[in-house]
Amino acid sequence: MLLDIVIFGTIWGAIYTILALGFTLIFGVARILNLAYGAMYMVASYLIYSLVSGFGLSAVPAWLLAVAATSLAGMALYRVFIFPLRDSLGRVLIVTAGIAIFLQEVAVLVYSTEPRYVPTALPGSLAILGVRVTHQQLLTLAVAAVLVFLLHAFLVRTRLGRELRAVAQDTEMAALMGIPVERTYLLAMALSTALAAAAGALVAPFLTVNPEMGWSPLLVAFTIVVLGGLGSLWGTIAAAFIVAYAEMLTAFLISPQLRDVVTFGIMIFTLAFRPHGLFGKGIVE
Amino acid sequence: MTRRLAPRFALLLVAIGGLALVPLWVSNPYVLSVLTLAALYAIFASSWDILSGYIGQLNFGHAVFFGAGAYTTGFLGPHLPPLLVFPAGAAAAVVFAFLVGLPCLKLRGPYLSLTTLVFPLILERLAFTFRDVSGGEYGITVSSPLSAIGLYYASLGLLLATLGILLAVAESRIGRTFRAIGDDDQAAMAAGVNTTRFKLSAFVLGAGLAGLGGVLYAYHIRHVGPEIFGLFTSFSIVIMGIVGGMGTILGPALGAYFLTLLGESLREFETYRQLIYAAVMILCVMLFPQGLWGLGRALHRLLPRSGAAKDAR
Repeated sequence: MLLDIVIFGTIWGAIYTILALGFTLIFGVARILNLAYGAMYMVASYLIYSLVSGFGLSAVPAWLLAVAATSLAGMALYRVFIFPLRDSLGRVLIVTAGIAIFLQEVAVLVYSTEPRYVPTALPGSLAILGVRVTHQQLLTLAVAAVLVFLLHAFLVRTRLGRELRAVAQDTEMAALMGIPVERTYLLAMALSTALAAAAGALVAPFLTVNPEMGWSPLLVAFTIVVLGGLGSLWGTIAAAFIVAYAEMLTAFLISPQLRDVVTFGIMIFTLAFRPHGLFGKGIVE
Repeated sequence: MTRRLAPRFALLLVAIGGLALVPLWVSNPYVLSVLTLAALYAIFASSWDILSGYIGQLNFGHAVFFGAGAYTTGFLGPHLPPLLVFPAGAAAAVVFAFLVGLPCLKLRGPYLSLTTLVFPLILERLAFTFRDVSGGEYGITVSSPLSAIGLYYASLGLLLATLGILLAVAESRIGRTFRAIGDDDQAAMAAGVNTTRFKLSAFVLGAGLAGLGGVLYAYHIRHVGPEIFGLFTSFSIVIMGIVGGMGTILGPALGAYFLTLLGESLREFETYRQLIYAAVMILCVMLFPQGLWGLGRALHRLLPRSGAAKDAR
């Protein structure tokens, strides 16, 4: 039991880290709270389902294609819907919520509400200290770690990454330094959506794919960002694992149905009592 | 103040009067049931507007309040006389107004919206989990003390009362304070306004009226289940408010009628209903942020007879 909690908490912590990093990227850089973020995760899951089950693609090209296509969709979404409303946080919130519902309903029309199953890329499982873990789950853990490492390297070592961080720190100053702010926002949106898609496509084989699946990751990502604060990689990672372990504790000790309730509770309590997050660099002004 | 309100009260009375006459020549029970539903949604959307439209704090979880009223009806309906179920439903909703409102007091903008969003989701999960209390996914069957026509007139009566109270509050000193907080809560605070108290009163007022509506909703549907706390239930109220025109009280009620009737007229496309709601809202936010009410006002201004003085606000 305890080992189950530790092992599955670690796997989910890694997935949540990717989800939260993607969410905080567009929020930190462009101050856009994208409620369609979870819908992008859902879209990527369905894409990989179609590519693998419908077109018979093998796992790796299907995964890359799903992530690239979703990322492009995210950029289009930014240009068409978010860009014209960007000055109003409230209207961005409303329009992205509308898009999330819209995409969910498109998924209902195309795939029906019937849950879908994505065949796993790596069949089989092994026992770690008596806990059965599938190879797909271990692969997910590994890919998540690689993605976090790559993102960190990109943000710290490349010119584009430094531009992203500069805009996040002080948009006006960055603009004065000649950084193309609008292009940076678009890049942030592309990366953010790609991370949501990467997470969606990674977990699809061990979850059921359904049209409503995007809301929970969106709210989890928001909770982690609230808890871990903005602009701190370590804060985000720590918060992601705290949320994941709390969820697994609840799922194993009380009821799997109450998994989300704990996350929502963490979100409410953090916002009410510790609005600056655990590490002080909060997002609530 | 009364002079500025008079045209809107007149419009309200004419509209409700017109709706009250409908059963005289329409006897189709299906039409009546749709109109009852539209009236109930109008109550939810207008009671949502006082916090969301006036104070500008977008509430994404209004379903908590009318859901509390509806579940109270499910729990207490068999044990209490109907006349006591209404105050009980309103009281339950007010309890939730404090539960949701207190953690939200310091929050603004998207933080408040997402916090309010998760409250109904928590209740939804709890209703699924603690099945012996809530009936799980099957919910609770409710028997109505009113006939279909009685429910129709009760809903219209409550709608009239709700809109009357909200319009009177919105145009009073309190409503102006709400607007001031919405425009700039720091400035309002600096001017000596107790923003905490006003925000909480907006929560309580909106919740209490929604709770009363929730009781009628449970009687009308004859059932209450966890889906009342579902995401789309809360979002459909937001959509009605935005499509109708936020911060106008009558606009969201209009939006509720418009979308409910639009949804029903496309009944053969039942699966498209949420899609259409979302699309209409996206169009509204992009193209007419003032909603139908703003559109109507703009058209009214174009009429040759209406002078500028008439449209002072």
